[in-house]
Amino acid sequence: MSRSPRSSTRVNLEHASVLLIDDNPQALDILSSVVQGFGVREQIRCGSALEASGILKRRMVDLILVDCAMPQMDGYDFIRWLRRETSQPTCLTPVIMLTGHAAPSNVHKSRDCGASFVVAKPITPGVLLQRILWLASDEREFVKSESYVGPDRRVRNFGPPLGVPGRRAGDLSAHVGAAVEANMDQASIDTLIKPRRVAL
Amino acid sequence: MTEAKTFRYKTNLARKMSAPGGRSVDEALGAADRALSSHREAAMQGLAVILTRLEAACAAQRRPDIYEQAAALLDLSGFFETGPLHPAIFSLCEISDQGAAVWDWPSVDVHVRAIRRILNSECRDTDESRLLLEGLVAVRQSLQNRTRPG
Repeated sequence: MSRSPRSSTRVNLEHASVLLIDDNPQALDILSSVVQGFGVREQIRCGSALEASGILKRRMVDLILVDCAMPQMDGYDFIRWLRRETSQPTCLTPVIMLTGHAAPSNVHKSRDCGASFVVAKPITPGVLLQRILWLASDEREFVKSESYVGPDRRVRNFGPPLGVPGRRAGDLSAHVGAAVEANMDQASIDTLIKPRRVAL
Repeated sequence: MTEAKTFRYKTNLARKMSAPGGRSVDEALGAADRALSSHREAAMQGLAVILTRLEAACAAQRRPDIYEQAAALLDLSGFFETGPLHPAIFSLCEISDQGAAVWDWPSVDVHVRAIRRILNSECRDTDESRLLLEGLVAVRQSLQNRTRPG
């Protein structure tokens, strides 16, 4: 999981605007330098989540990096606000949450707040860049429900648990109905599943 | 049970990152590593300042300040390779967190002293630092055992 991205991969963040939120000015400086090293030209730095929410009411950004522990509004509450209270496309903005010490009381908040990724420190530039690259190719659906708003928390979708009806339009029913087409003959089935030698 | 609405979407980040241009991962990581290195000395000084505040809070037995300062140490040290320092601070966070079932000042004191020794030795991974970390694990284990019935 912590492998660095391949060196041949290209990363283009020149035109991306990134919002950085951390109440520790020194940590904010460090994060800002790392992100600048990745090639980001436009950064908006905020010392509090409240300040950041004010900015997001006025303009869009392409990526948000937020520290979890802050006074007044913490990172978890900020992401919940972003996902639930802002309109599209702002509510869809990818968010990476950075955590130092995740207190046990915050583990559920962390899972359910709607962050695209939660990254625990110690954090290296390689890990951070890898998460950003993953976000660029993230194909998870966006979920809106009463109890959760954010990117699908399931990295792999195996459907609803056995015996539990699905809650999504795309969930398949566990009930298999009567066949509506003629059975396939064995030759057709073999064609589907048997490997064949192909002359090239 | 309410129905969840789901939809596919493509973010602006994905659109912008898929445009031609940019730099190679090697170049990006090289530049980020150089930028990070330029902050290391100031960060180590910052850690020393926070640790002094932590020691004062420990001496005055100001309980809420312990976790706050320990978490601040962890936040700042978490950007750098600090060897045994990070696990020592993490251990202090674990025993001073609001959710910790037992509060024990001697255990907090041992952690703070260990963190000071590790920082004074420039976070080098040595036999002493390994022993210190083993000691902190034993302290934490003993606190956990106190919370178990029987």
